[in-house]
Amino acid sequence: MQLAADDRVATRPDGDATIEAGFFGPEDARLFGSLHIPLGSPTAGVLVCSPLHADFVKNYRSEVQLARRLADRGFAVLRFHYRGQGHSDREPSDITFSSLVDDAVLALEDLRSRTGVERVGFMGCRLGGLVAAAAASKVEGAPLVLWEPVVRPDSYVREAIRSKTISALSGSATNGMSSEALMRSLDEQGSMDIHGYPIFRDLVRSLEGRSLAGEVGDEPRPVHVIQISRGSAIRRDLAEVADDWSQLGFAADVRRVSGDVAWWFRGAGSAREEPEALTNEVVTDSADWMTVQLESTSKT
Amino acid sequence: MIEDKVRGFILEEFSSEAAGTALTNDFPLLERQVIDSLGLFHLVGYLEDEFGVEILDEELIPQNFGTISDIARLVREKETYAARG
Repeated sequence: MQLAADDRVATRPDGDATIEAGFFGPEDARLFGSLHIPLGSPTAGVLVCSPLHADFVKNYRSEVQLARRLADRGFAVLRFHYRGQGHSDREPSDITFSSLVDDAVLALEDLRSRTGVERVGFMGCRLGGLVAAAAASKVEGAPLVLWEPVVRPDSYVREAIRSKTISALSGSATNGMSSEALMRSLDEQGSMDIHGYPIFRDLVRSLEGRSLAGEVGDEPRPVHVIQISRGSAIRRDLAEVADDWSQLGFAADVRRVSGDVAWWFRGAGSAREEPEALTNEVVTDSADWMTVQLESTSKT
Repeated sequence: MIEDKVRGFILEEFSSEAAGTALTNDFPLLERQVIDSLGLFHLVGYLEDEFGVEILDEELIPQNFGTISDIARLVREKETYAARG
């Protein structure tokens, strides 16, 4: 790995592309990012908004694969860590929904300033879908790919607690606290532990009352949602939000990819998963869709 | 019937685990590992989505999810409770 002129950034080749990994943002609150730069001048950029907690680990490989695929097609792609996550500065307890969106906006500025791209698209997974939606709403017409997005954050918190309850039921949890005890811990101690990942009160409170539709806003844009499930039915919450977007004039669709991701669960259900095949299908579908969106608008 | 809808969901969602089993109403789903932790997580989400009921965490016990009959009984109880307001 070679240090660039700016010693906060290290570069290395990645196939025909280059990855610049390093820090950006203010010195007292630096964010860590990996910028995939294609061979030649990038025609557009894509910002990847990761999920949080256990979801981050589950999705990491898919995000890398997507970034590589898009870089092969001539797009610059920035993956980054929110404050208090991964290599970035600050503490996990500093995270609120507003801070996540602020970090995404800062990352977008970094993507644009380092590559010169004007046209950008956004990808977000799970809770990162909500962040991507909020960030995309600040860029007119920016296309948005959402993997298994959280439609209502209150259900996200509820699912977290439920996953712990169910793990305790099957005897795989290390701590069988009741949902009441978890919520009490959140209120009184400022956090609750879900499978080893602390979820902080300020984040939970900052998510209250929010929704995916609310973060995307009313301005029409292309939105492509990917649902991963073994069953063929489109989930009701995804179908409803896609219908609402269509009525507002969005080019919105939900695509089901057959598979199973054990969001929240540590290892559970692994025998049911085919991670490589699933990753490849999700990445290929998303890269194809984003390529069409960014190429069609960059020619107009 | 609730039982038929639940059976249909299990057969589609857990097709490999349910293969070769006679998925009768009293077939032991948890005991025979047709449904694991992740499966139960998905099943609860399906029940809430399909039947408009809310499953509480304290109701996530084997007595309520051991068989299709158990699941249907739980849903009926929830529907009845909701209807009473």
